[in-house]
Amino acid sequence: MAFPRRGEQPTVAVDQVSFAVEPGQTVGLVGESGCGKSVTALAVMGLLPRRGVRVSGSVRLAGTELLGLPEAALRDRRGRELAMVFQDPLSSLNPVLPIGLQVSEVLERHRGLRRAQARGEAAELLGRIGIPDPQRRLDEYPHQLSGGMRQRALIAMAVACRPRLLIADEPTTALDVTVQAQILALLRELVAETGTALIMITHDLGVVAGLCDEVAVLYGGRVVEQAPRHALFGAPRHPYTAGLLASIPRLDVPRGRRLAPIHGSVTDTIGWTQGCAFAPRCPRALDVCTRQTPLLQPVPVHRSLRCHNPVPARPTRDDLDVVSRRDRSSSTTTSRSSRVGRAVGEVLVEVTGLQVHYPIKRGVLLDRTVGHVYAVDGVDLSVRRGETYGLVGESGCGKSTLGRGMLKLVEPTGGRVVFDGTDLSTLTGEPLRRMRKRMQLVFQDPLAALDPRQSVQSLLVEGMRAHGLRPTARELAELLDAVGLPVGTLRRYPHEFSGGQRQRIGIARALAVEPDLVVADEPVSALDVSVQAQVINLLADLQGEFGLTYLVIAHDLAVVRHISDRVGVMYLGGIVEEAGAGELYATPLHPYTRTLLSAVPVPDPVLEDAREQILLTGDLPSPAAPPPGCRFHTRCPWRQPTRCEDERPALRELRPGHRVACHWAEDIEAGNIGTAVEPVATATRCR
Amino acid sequence: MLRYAVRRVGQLLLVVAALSVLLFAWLRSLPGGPVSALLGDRATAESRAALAATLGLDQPIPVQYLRFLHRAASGDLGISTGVQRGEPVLSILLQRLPATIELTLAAILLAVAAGIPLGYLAARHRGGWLDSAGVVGSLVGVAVPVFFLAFLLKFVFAVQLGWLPTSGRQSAGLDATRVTGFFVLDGLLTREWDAAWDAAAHLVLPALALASIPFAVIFRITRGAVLDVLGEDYVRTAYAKGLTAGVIRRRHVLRNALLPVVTTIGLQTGALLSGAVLTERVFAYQGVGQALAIGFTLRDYAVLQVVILAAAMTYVLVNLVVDLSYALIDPRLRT
Amino acid sequence: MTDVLAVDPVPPVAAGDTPPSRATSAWRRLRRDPLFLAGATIILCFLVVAVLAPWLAPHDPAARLLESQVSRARNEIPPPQPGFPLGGDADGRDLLSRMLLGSRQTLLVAVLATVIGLGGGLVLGTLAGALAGWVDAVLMRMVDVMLAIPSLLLAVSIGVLFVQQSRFTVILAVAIVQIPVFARLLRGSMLAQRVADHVLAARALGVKPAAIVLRHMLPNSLGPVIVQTTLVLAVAIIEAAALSFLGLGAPDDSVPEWGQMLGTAQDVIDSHPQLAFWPAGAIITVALGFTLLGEALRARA
Repeated sequence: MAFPRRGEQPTVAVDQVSFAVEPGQTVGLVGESGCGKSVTALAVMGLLPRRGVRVSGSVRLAGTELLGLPEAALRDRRGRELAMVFQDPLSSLNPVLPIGLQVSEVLERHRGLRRAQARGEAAELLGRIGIPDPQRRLDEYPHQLSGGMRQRALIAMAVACRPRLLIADEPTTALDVTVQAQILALLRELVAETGTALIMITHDLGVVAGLCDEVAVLYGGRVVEQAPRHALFGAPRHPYTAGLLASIPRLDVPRGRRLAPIHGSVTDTIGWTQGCAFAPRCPRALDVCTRQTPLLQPVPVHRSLRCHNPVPARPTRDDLDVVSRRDRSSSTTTSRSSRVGRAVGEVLVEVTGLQVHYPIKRGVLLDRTVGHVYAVDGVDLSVRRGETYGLVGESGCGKSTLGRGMLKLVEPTGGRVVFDGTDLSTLTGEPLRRMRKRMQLVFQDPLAALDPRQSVQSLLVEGMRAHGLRPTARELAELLDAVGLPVGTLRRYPHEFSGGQRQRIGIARALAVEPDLVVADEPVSALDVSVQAQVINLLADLQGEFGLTYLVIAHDLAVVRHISDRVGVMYLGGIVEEAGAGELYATPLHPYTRTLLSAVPVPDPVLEDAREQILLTGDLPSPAAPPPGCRFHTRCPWRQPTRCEDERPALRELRPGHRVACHWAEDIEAGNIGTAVEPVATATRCR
Repeated sequence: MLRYAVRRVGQLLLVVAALSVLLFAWLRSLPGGPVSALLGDRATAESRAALAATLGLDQPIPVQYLRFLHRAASGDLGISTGVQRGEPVLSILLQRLPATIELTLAAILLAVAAGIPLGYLAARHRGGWLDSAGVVGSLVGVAVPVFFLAFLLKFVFAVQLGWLPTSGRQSAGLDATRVTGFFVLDGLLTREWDAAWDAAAHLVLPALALASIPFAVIFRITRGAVLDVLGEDYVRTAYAKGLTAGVIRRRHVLRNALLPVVTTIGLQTGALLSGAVLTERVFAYQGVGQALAIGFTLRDYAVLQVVILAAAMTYVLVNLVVDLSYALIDPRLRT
Repeated sequence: MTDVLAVDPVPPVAAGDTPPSRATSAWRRLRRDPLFLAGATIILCFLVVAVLAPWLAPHDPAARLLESQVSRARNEIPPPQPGFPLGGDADGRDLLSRMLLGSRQTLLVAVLATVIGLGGGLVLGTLAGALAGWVDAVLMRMVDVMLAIPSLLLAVSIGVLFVQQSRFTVILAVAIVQIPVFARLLRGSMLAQRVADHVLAARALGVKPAAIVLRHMLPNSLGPVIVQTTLVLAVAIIEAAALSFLGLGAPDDSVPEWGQMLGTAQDVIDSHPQLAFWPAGAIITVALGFTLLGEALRARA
């Protein structure tokens, strides 16, 4: 199969994208938002709107040209010969139809099965795809399934007719890392079993490294580099590829390395009409790069490259740290080295037995409380002045609620938070309001967190005024400068900025009131990969500059490892393990931490192939009905009879500064207890 | 689902209870109160006091309210003082209710039958002539006062062209057997085809006038909902599955787009009842709407109080049914 | 649709030039909307007529100049004639002058009724949305009860409470009906704002509660309310006409108003439809104008 093709709009979304996928092979399309990867997929599927979009070039499936086929002929092929899995499994499933019907309608349409026959086949298919109790699931609706189950159902629909080509567009982006591992394993199996060709679209380099045979990196709608995965990750040649790899925090690289962000953001693209679209952000840009558009040229061995000044062919690992010139010149003085000398002082925040239980109300006339969501259920932790405490966990584990409960933005239902000697639970009204000056919050979605009607100046000044500060124009300018925004931006409004810049505004607003503690709730997860590094570095610099204490909440294990001094792992409302960042990631002791770490894909194909994965079965239990005993026992591969079900383990200090809430941590560490499931090495996948 | 239904019925009871209190208070705060309402302003002080005592108005307010409820429960809703002087309100209600139900049903059926398909087509061919005409038409439809549209229809089709009758529910001199009180239905049941035809002919113009606003609203909501659903990820999934156009339209687009439309239909009950008051008056159509219109002019509070309560209860009840049927269509609401 | 098409179109921030604010860019898009243009033109003409009416009107609208041509017995009213292009009404007053002057009272009814309804709704909606809890529960049950009565019936029920009917009682009856509509609308978007990140951010900053409500929650909740206000301007005119039609209008018609003119024209509509058509046409046009504005705002908001 070969797809040399180009799609054109008045604004060219995708141009000159060519690649081929063999049966049983996987090609990865990698890039940030706006690079054209999804448009490419939709063009292949023939799903782009017919009006207003021009697609030219060629898409051939097993010798048949798909472009220009009449809609009826395409309809016959879609779902049968080529199929697609989408990013958001909830919105991609019809909410008012049972799952079974949504699967069986494909079988009815393309294989001419009768309703009952198709239903039986659908159940079998769901079972094969790893959905337990498929007969019952047939009659359930999408909202009744977990995220992972929904994505499995969507995959079941796509592979129902054993298509020759399967396109997966960010199939795991909306999922937790342990569920992502399950889905990736499933895709791998499907490719091996059915010999389908897979196009994997993702922004996650780790996913690509483990899954794809061939990788194409897109920027601004064109392929900038394409190579087999070992070649690409071993020696990236395009400055963008190299930049991406250097800008992400990685579990496979020692801690303490300063990230090398790519300058600017994806919106800084000038397009390909004159020169290279990446030139404005490129550390290796030459004069020629802004004058002459580079062509995609073959480079030995099996590589295509679109660059006037590529990275030298034989880089060592250090070459990956090609720090952009601009970034290095501006901030080497406040690099990570300054953090080593940072004084970590006495305890600033002490949390004991914190509980946040949300009542579930229901009733005929008057609402009665019929149960509780145990969002945070008995958390002890302390954050010392000047340190960064990282809180990781999957969605729904209660980490955001914990952060907000600590700031008393949600009312804790039990336990105490002592902030610098003051018990926050005794504070209400005006004293609490005044206390807020000392503890601030940075949000995940910077656009939602900024009032769209406020100018930057008004955003910054509002909090200061509330605490009696009267900032001068110079102080505001200094504040903007500290977060890396031009001074001229004071009178602008949030919608005029890019995502990264908005997050800088949010950080500036938090810092404006000169807090001691900053709780950052997923501060980078809404940002593009290349921009994340800028914000992470900024947070580190500001900590040194202003002597801040951070509580960073994130689901991305690599991000947390990178910026934290100490890390706490949360599962279903409780902390299960806590240790220094280096220690925790090197020797995780809690079974949950182990499985979590084993599930994170690493952007290195060699490590990926060798990585031992512990696949968790099942889903996160509902925090409204947490399992008795150890919260993790329902999914734990090391669980032991009765004690794990009966007794909730307390956090114990196993080693200095390393606390674990597991009855059997020592035995597991010593290898005395084996897992119920064998770890899956990704290398053993059948090819 | 059952819990949901019980909860909604509970809320309904609450609203109705509050309404009865409200209407009771309303009757008591009318200019001059019920006594003046009954006797007029020129009655003597003695007769006023006598009537007040007979009506129990000398009792404390809560006692009065309980008595009012007690009488209402036994079917005594009072005596009309204006609309049909001297007749019990209950019998007026029973006589006229079928007429109004017949009219409003005809109107909502018209509005739905035209609004949903046209709304779908307008969305499918967005920006086309049908879409533009529909959008402009629906905007004009909302801007035209219902009673003026009724006048206009009557003037053109009944007065000038003489195609359809100008007023009433049936032609004078027609002797039809009455079974249910729904004239069209009666004609069909008794196989008196001319009677059915005559009743239907009397229904056309008022129903058309009454349908104008619900049609405009249903059209717009359908169009908007279809446009929204067409942009949903699951419709893209349906296309990616290679399903036929018919299946995508029925199963994936219309089924989801109809959810907000169903709610809208329920909410239109209020507009229909308001419109019925005006339309029935223009066409001298003997329904509860006309009774209300006359009742307001003649200050027949006994009729007004009962009919308004009945209208409000109908509105709440229809919306309850809509809510429950909504839960049947949308599995996310079944808990 | 996909992340690809969601490319942030905002250019990088450069010092110096000021890009359009959100309001101005919304205004630019509005200016090209044919619905908005049509609505704005209608309303502009309406306002001009209302302001200049005393100078535009050829005669005194209350003077029965053509009374001699009125014959109740023969059901005759003055036909169009030199100096009286639309003829006279059933009392022999100049119809054109009454139409022109009627615009003022119609505007008064629409604006006053809307402002009172909006004001009441703003207070109730803000209270419910800002305080939530039992205040919200109580207020919203009250709103439920009011909304359960069909709007016209509620307006009429309020209308009959007044001993003396006047223009003001009409305005009040129409306005009170709109209070629960505004209140529920505002309350809904206020509650959505309550849990919005930027409101949480203001709380986290330690901004005073009253300032959070007035500076963040309320302004960001007003979008749908503004749209509704425009639509209610149209509804108020139509409802006032309906009240007049049901005999609850202002009895004094020396100062004309379109709804009142239309309402009183019903007695002679079969023989003299022009008495109804002129005010009806004017009402429809102005109501359409407000509706067009409202729908255009809704679509572009």
